[in-house]
Formats: sequence, structure tokens, C-alpha cells
Amino acid sequence: MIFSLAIYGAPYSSQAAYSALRFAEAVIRQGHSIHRLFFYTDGVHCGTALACPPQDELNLQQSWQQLIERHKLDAVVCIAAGQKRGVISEGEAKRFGKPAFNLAPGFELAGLGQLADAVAHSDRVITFGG
Amino acid sequence: MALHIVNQSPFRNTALAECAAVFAESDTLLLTEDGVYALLAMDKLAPFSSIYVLESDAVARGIDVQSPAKTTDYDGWVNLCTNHMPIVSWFG
Amino acid sequence: MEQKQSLYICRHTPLQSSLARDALDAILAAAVYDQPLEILFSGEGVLQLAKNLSAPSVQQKDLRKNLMALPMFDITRVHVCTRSLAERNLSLEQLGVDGLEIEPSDAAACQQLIASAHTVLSF
Repeated sequence: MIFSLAIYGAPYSSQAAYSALRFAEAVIRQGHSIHRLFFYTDGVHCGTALACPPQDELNLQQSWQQLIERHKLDAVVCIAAGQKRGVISEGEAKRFGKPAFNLAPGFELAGLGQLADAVAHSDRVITFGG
Repeated sequence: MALHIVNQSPFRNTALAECAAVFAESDTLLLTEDGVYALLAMDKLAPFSSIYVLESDAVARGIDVQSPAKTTDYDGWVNLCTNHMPIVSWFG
Repeated sequence: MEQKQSLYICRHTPLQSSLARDALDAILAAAVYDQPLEILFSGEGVLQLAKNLSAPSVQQKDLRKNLMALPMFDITRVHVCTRSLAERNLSLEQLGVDGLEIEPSDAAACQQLIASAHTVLSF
């Protein structure tokens, strides 16, 4: 079965982004496929490469990056929600004249059409809200 | 047959109550995260004919899962999703 | 694209977070793709439809502009949960968005909306 996940929870603000990670792992473990991970609203903070949590805490952002890279998942950070919250790519940083970018490897910035596409092409879409 | 997922404590907001209001007899409820605190007030779970609880979230909060609620894990959650449509999330 | 019915459930106040506007942005994007969809305002979400909103007074963009954009994408009807209205001492007459028919939905109607949906996106 084809799943997509819509993730609205920011890491450490609620458990939603953690639950989504564990759920995504279970989907893959059971042989289903993930069409897309769509990070929206505060969930865009999952896509930062700059988080440095203490070593004795789960690094949620890094865990997402590893899962995405290991399984070549399509991981989209909503571009409008990301720009607003300061999760931007190198190209966006240049375009807006910002001193740095932070979008982690494996994630891409794209528009809400990608959420609509996920709805159209998935058997199940699960929302993870904070 | 819908799967409703509630991740909020019923003592904090109305997510569980809103879910209860539209819950159909053949639907299933899954309590995750702070949603497991509903088990402290079984009367709030009376409207639900089928109740699952994400075990790791209940254990993390020191909540005992009592009948008629059943425990499940992330793999079980995925199975609930394949067996139900649509999936409705009720969050804060 | 396949034509599967989606339901968008909007459950948050207009200004508590960005969710109310984020929902409408997502809905408009889906409408661009001609995806058949229904919208249900439930719980605190019913407050988004109040006639007398004036978000610019707290330097927020006006939610009503997004709501009024819906008919341009052939969305002319939204559903509102009557139980949520009653809880807040609101009547249908206190709601209104130009170009939108606001259909009162009791519990059975809300159940039917969910049961008819292939995908439900909550906001």
C-alpha cells in the first residue's frame, strides 16, 4: 500500500514529529511504500540541518535525515511555511540575501501542490499534528 | 470504516469529544501520545466501540491499559491504517 | 490524476496559530488540481466563519480573503458542525462569507462526510 505523511509538529514542541518518524519506519518495515513526506506549518523545523540537541537526547532531525537518505524517500518542506520560519535552501538564501541556509540534505523545498499530489497518489495519508 | 487517531489529553482540549461526536459504530479509535490519558476517565471512552492504545506511549506515561481498550505498537498502527479508510487525526 | 474525494477538517480558531490559513492554502492548492473535496469546520474552526472577523487589527493577514477565494476555484459550499456552533452560543446567522453557502451539518451529516472521504486532512 502507498502511504504519505503530512507532518505539522515541530521537533521537541510536541511528540507528533517523533510519532511520525516511528510510524514511517513501521510502514517501511512492513513492506509498504512511502510516496511522500510533507512537512508543513511548524513541521518544517524537522528539515533543519543545524539542530544540536544534547548527546543523550534523540536527534530527531538527524533521524529523519537518515531515514530519508537510507530509503531514498521523497521529503518535501513546504516552501512558503519554511521561508516564513527560516528553513531555507542555499538557493533561497541567495535569493533573499540571507547569510546562511539550513535545509538538510535529503529534503527539498516545494509548494503545496506536492501535498495535493500526495493525496492523489497515495492509498493513505496520515496527518501528524502537534 | 474510519480510523480516528487522538493524540490529546481529554483534560486539555476537546479533540476526543469532537471525535466522539462523529464516531460511527464501525469506526476504530487509536489513542496515541497524550491521548492515552483518556484511560484515566473510562466514561469518556464510552462512545467508542473499538479502542486501541499505542503501548509505548501509555508505558511512557505510566498509564495502565484496561479492557475494553487493546494495546498495539507502531506495526499494529500501520495495520490499522491499511484496514481502515479514511484516517482522521484529531490533534491540539 | 485520480479523482478521490478528500475531506478537509478545520478545527482551529482563526488566529491561534497559522493552521487556519495553512488549511485554506492547502485547499486552494488541491482545488487547482481539480481534486474533488469537501470542507468541514468543526470545534473551534467554526469561529473562522464569523461574519465580523477583522484580523488586520492584530497585523495578521485576513483569513476572509482566503475564504472568499474558494468560489473562484468552484468551491461554493462548506459544512459547519451544528454541535460546535451550539456549544459556542453561535447561530448560522452570525456566520457568513461572500459567495459561500454554509451548510449546517449535524453529527450524522459529519459522519457521512467522513465515511465518503478517501482521504481526510485535519488542520
